[in-house]
Amino acid sequence: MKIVVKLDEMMAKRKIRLNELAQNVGITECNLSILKTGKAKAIRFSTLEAICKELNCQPGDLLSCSNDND
Amino acid sequence: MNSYKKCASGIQIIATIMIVATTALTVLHWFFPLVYQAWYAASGVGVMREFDTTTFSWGQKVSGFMVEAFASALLIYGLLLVIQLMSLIKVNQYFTLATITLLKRISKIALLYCVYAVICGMALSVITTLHNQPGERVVAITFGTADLINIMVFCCMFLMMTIFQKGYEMKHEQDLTI
Repeated sequence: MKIVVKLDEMMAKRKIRLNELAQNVGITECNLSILKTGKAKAIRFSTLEAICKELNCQPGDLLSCSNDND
Repeated sequence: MNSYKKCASGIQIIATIMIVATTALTVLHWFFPLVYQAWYAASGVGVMREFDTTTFSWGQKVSGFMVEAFASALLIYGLLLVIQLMSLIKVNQYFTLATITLLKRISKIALLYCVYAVICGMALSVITTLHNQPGERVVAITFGTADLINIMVFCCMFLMMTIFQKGYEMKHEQDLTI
């Protein structure tokens, strides 16, 4: 089972760029890029809350769980 | 400067002095024994050996030096690694791959030194009694307090390396926590 981050999909839907989202959320572009590319090991609730608030979405819109076979 | 950086600098200075002293005293003891004895009598720095190399043949001196030089080389290499490790700690690189690699190498050197110390003692006992009459030559296998301390040092180094490795894994995970 693997957690998949769908941040890029939500960013495309909301038509917001990485640097703009990073600035509004209060994290670095580098960290946001790590999250977007699925390399992050963990995410703080405060960061998730800030991203959801900015993108006007639910955590489930950003994160999903998939089998490794998929 | 923080206290741990001062400590790291101090350890580097001590390690450097030990490297110079080990090299000099090993050469002096085997090839310039009178100078070594005069130095030891004046300063008290060094080890007064149970054998006197002034009466040894050149073959004994060279072979004894080679045996002891390997032990000295291990010690010097270990001290050089310690100096590198202290340099990393001074620039705040505590839990990094480079630090762990150095600690692993230092642990291996410490273990090798422990094992070689026993072999070295045995080899030196043969070399230093070669000039004796047959029947008076000695093969001594010794394992003393110093060897036990060396093993303790190796165990402590190994434990430190394990802890640093765990710290590195935790830091790596923390770095990838957004």
